[in-house]
Amino acid sequence: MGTVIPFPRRRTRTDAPSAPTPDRRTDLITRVARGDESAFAELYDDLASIVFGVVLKVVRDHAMAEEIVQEVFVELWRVAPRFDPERASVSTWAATIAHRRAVDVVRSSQARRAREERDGRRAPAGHDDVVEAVLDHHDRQQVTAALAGLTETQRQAIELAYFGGLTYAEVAATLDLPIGTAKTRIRDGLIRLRDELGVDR
Amino acid sequence: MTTDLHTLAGAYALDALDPDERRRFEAHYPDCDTCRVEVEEFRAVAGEVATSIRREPPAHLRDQVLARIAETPQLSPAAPVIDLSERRAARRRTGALLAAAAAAVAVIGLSGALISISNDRDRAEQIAAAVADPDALVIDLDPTGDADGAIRVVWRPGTTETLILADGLDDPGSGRVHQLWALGAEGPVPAGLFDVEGPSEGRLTDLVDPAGWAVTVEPAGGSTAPTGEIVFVTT
Repeated sequence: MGTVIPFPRRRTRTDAPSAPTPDRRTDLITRVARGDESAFAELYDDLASIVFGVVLKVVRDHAMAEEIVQEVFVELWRVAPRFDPERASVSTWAATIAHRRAVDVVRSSQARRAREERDGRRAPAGHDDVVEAVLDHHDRQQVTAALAGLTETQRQAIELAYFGGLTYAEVAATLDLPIGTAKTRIRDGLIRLRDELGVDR
Repeated sequence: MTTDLHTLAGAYALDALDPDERRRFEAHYPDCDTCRVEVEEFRAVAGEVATSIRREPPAHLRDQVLARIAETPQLSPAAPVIDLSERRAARRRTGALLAAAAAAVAVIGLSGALISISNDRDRAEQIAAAVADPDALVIDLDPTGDADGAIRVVWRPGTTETLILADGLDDPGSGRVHQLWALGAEGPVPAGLFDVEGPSEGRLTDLVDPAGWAVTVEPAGGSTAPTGEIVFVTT
């Protein structure tokens, strides 16, 4: 997760705890892994906006996103005993499970059909339409700056894949690139983001 | 092919592989130090991006989630993760009449209650015929976690019809349904939707020679590719 900078977060829940540190999250997940439901409630308060944010971004449908968020948290509860802090931070773990679930739902034909009807097959939205989101400004500014440091193709490829839920082959078709190029732009874009954000798992 | 796989870590971390490539990469990367580290780092990058687009969900979701987890058993810490790609089907031929007869008894035992209640003679005869078919395979699936009940599939190689016998499965939840998958070389093929109890007829959407079978819970109407966790699988 790189450097931990304490930063006040805006929260809608007035009784929410102050922004947890990775250490506190690890402590929470250890309790959750032992079946502690009150620890899970705290973890929910901490992670819900991350999970909902990424799911909504991919499925772009409030009702569907709410349903997926429930599934994701039930899954996080279920697999918490297998969480390995060596492999990922708690927030990365949650975001990984949330994103995959959202993408899988979008790719199931029913959901895709409904989405395309609603959107008239418009290209997936970019990063800008989330300005109304409840954001941690520090996180957002850092990521926005890092994305701005990419080449146009790298940025588009990563956003289409991550926010749009496209496969890299679909990214290639959308951007009119050779398939291998789309795959490479995603990877070298991520390498650049990794270095820019100082991410070390 | 190995070189090829190494370049997929980025797309994989963003869930941007098609199902076949995802499966191949998942069979590869845990044992490849380079890819494993890349996947973990790229996922952390994606996690940072996710954190930058936070949105507070509606407040009512919290109570729903907490109510659901209170009734959801957790995985045990030590149990191995099931890797579908390495599963091989239990392909027990029921060629011998004796075996078929035994299977028929077991099957009728499994679904007999429902058949006798509905007095559906055609159904009963169809099941009896299916399991008596010397070329039919009778395939038992095992729960991957704490799922209740039993699932048995009757299928004759070279055909697309499946007969799915369920007994005492967990309620999949409103708007959701159990779906059977034939694990073909090109990926999971939809093989039928079925109820928590009793026999259901399914159909493979593609004629395949599956290496195994699996069951997931899917949105009502079923999916073209699995979206849920595997709850039953052949061992």
